[in-house]
Amino acid sequence: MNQNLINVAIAQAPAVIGFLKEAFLEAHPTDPQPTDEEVIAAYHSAFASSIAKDEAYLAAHPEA
Amino acid sequence: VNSLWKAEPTMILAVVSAGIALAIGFGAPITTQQMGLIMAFVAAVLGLINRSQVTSAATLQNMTPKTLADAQDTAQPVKDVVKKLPAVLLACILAGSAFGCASAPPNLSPAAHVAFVNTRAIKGLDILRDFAIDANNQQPPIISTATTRKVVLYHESSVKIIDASGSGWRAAVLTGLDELVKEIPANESPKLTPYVILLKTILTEIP
Repeated sequence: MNQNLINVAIAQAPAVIGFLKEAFLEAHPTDPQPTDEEVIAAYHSAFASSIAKDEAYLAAHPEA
Repeated sequence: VNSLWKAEPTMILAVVSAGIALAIGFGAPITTQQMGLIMAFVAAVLGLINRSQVTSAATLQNMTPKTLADAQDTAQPVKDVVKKLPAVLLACILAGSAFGCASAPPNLSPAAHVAFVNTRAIKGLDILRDFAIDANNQQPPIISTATTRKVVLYHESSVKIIDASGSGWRAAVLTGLDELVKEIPANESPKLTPYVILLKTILTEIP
């Protein structure tokens, strides 16, 4: 079981590191800046996909 | 390195601490609070590794020679996997040492600024939820379905709170996280702790 846990943690690591880099690294001043529309569209996409995964899990695993 | 994991987690923590202090000395933008959170995260990961490598004296006393031999046989694959962890941990530390709480691009309107921040919060919540689901999908499950449902329900309500309240969600989402931690069974709590700490860091630090 410990091996599985560590494997899951390792499998998660790239996503975690990628998120941290995206979330906490300052953008270089010369990087292209996202527009309002792009940022708002990214938010709606993140919201929709995130909720969809919750609903899929809850539907597949109803309360016992 | 493997024997170091087993014998000297405190020493490794001290080395990591010194590394972060060095990074701060060279100008890495890490506050005292952020350093504390990074150290807590590292300590939790080291604790997880250490627990996978050791057996309590009481358990050993109750083992028959056969179960002891079986335990030694199953320990080897775990040790092999643990060999990969220094690289993962180092990458986490490097990513953590880059904590600078980047602010939203300055060209954004107020509405887009809120969307930018809230996207980060949702993706941070996704990390905890995705780990719980992946752990629940293992055979045998590492985290029970009942606990995973609690994590998913917390995630769903938090994302909806973020969507409904714009920029005023932080206190409610952090309080919900504290409530979730209290509801997780003691035997499963250590498995989720590193991700809970990481999520708290994210929710606390994003501007």
